[in-house]
Amino acid sequence: MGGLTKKAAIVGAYEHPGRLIPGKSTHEIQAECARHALAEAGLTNKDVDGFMTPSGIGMDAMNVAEYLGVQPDVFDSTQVGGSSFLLHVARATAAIAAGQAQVVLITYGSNARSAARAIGTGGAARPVINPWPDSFEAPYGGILAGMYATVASRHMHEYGTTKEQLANISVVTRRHASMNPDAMYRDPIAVDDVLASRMIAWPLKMLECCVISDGGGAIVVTSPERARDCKTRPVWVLGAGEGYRHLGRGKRDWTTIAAAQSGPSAMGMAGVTHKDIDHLMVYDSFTITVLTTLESLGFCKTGEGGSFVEGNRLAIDGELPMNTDGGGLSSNHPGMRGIFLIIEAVKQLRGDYEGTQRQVKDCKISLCHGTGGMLGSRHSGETLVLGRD
Amino acid sequence: MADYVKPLPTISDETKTYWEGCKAHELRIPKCNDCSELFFPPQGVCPHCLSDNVGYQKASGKGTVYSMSIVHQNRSPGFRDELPYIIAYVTLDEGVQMFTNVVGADDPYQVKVGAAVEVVFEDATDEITIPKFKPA
Repeated sequence: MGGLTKKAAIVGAYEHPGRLIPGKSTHEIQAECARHALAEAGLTNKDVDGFMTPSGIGMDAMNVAEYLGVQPDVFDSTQVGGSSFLLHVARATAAIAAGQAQVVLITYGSNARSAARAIGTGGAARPVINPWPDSFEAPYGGILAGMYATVASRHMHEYGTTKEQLANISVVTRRHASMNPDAMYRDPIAVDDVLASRMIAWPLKMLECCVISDGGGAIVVTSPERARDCKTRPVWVLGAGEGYRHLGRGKRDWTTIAAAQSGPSAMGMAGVTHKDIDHLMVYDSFTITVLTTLESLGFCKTGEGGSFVEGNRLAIDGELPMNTDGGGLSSNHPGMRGIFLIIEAVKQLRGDYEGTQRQVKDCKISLCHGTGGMLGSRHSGETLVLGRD
Repeated sequence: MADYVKPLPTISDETKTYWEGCKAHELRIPKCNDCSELFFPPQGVCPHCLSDNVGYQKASGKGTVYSMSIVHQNRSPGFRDELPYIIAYVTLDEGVQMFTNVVGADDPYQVKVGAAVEVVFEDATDEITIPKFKPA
């Protein structure tokens, strides 16, 4: 243990229950989430002295701070894609450890679905693209799902991974969504249903792609001293790591992802090994994202992800329960899902679901990993290890 | 060619040697004159050693499909009329990968990861030519 271990605790976590939130601005959604997350800790916006959210369009992060009525001493609008919020928790913890802030609020809000924003399958008129690097990519129509699909095709070619193995990730995740009353899709599905769904970008079928929803969330991170006075059970930051991968000068093994860089850092800082992890939250933009994340985090060897995700291992009653909220594949995905990984981990570690089938039994340590950007192209990897007392 | 509606590359001083090559139907790979390393995509400063002494080597135009997808959904102008189409990383025989399309197959599902391909040039406008690949 070391670095940021137990230097801060998450004392508030709120996910907006809406999946279609018409008529609400992204700022309203964030304010609603912030109010709930602060309230459960016994805090208000007047306690907030640190604020973090991805940059948004222009410098919207500063607009959000204004909207929420906070006057932060520490501000971070780092935008590394959907994983940004995991990075923010690490930055918040570092700021708290350095004495720069006591109560850091992290927010997210999106109306991607009600605004009918196309995420990943195009729709925009021809943009003027920058000379580098987009001019070497955009002319070829590499949609988001297609870029992830290139990784899947390589994995299948190199390691014999099958479409049935990938589909099982969607099946297990949907089973978890059936336990979540807020999830967008809750009816159980089978591997055959996944394989029979519409092709989006070979080899990825529609039921291997995340949903498009509205949504939002908020997280409150505070110092150990302040955490003692909060109304919730503290969830400790035990470890954090980050990693980035890009085209690598034209020489890249795309089946190994940024998680291979961030995972060992986070687990090393936390002083945990794979067998210590009771619960796993993995950014599931697509099935291949989950498979490559499990490999690059070291839960199995590279190339063995296909057999690792077979069967019941990742189910709520399996040995490594994963995405117990129903994930991006079935619950919600408003464009950037990283904050929901953290919220579900916090709720599992606090035992918020005790008495229901959704609660992971004896959940002491949860690992969250977010991928931001695109696999098969530039992407970030942010890993957090969280634990309870 | 006036009806070309897909995104066109923006050509800058930094990358014009590459695009001039394409217009002449010659694929050029950036090569650092100081450290001798090849790289892709083209840029004015070598990402291996940060030298600004960057030149170009004529490529054989041959390569293999490293990874690919067959895109069935894209609502953007131009692409929506070509569904399904192939996007791919092609590893050139010289050793660097480039992102591209594989075109010219009767059925895109005949094209596989590992397949041999060779460059073809699509004259998008009078000024701009885009390199793509076809089954070899």
